[in-house]
Amino acid sequence: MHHAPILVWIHDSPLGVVMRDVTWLFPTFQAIHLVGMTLLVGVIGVIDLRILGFAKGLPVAALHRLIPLALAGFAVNVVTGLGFFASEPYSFAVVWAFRIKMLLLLLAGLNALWFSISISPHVHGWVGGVDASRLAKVLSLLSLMFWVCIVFAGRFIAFEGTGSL
Amino acid sequence: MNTLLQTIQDTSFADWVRVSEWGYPIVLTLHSLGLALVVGVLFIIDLRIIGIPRSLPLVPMRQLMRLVWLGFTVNLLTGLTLFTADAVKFYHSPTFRFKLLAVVSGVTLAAILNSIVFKAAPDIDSGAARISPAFKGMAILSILVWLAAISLGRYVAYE
Repeated sequence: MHHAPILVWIHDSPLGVVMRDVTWLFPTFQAIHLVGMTLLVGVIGVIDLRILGFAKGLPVAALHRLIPLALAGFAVNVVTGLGFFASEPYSFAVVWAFRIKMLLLLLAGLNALWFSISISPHVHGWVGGVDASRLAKVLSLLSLMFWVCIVFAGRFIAFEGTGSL
Repeated sequence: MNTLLQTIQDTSFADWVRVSEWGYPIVLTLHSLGLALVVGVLFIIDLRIIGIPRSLPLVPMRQLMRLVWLGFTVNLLTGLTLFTADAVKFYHSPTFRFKLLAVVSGVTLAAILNSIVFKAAPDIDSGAARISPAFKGMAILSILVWLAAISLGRYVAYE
C-alpha cells in the first residue's frame, strides 16, 4: 500500500521507532497524556464554570493565573500525542475519531484565542460575586462543549477501525 | 470468591459492557471525564493549599468540592461497570489493587483537607491564620497519589 511521504517520514522517525520498540512507552505516554488532559480540562473547565456563574465567589483574574498550568498540560499532550501518532501514522490518518478530534482541537484553539483577545483584558473587573459578560459566557459554554467532545473523540480512537490503536 | 466474580462477569449486563459497540467506549470516556473533574479540581485546591496562587480566596473554593464529589460518583459508577466486564482479572490484578489503594488514599486526603483547611478558610483569606506545613505536605502527597492512581489505572488495561 502506498502512503503519503510525510506519513512514511513520521513512521520511520526515531520517535516512531522508539514508540513501537519500547513496549512500556505507549502505556506510559497514555498515563502522561491523561495527566496533561486533567491539567488542561480541569483548569479550563473550572474557569469556564466560574464565568458561567458556578462558584461565583471566585475572582476570575486569580483563576486566570492558573492558565500556565493548562498550557503546560497542553504542551505535554502535544508531545505525547505526537508519540502516539508516530507509532502508527497510517492507522491514525484514516481513523475518523482522530480526524474529528483534530478538527475539534482547532475549533477549541480558535475559541480560546477569541477569549484571550476579547475577554481576558477585562477579567480583572470580575472579582468575587461579579457576573461575567454575555460574550464571555457564550465562549465559555462553547469551550466546555469542545473539550468534552475532544475527550470523547480521543477515547474513541482506540475503538475504531483495526483495533490496533 | 472466584465463583462470585465469575457470576458478576456472566451477567447480561457485563456481557453488554463487553460486546456492545458503544457501551464500553462510552463508559470509559465518562470515566476519563470523571477523572478530569476529580483530579483536575483537586489539583487546583492542592496547589492553592501549597500557595499557588495566593491571590485565590479559599472560601469560595469550597464550592468546587461539589464538582469533585460529582466526578467521584460518576467514576464510582463507571468504575463498577468496567469492573463487572472483567471481574476475575481485575480482582486478582496487583496493579488494580494498588490503584484502589491510591484512590482511597486520595479521597481520604481530600476529605481531611476539605474539612480542616476549609474550616479555617475565612481566617486564612483574611491573613489571620496560615496554612501549616503539615497540610502543605498533605496537599503534595495528594497530588502524588492521584498521579499514581491515573498511571496504575492505565497500566491495568495492558495486563
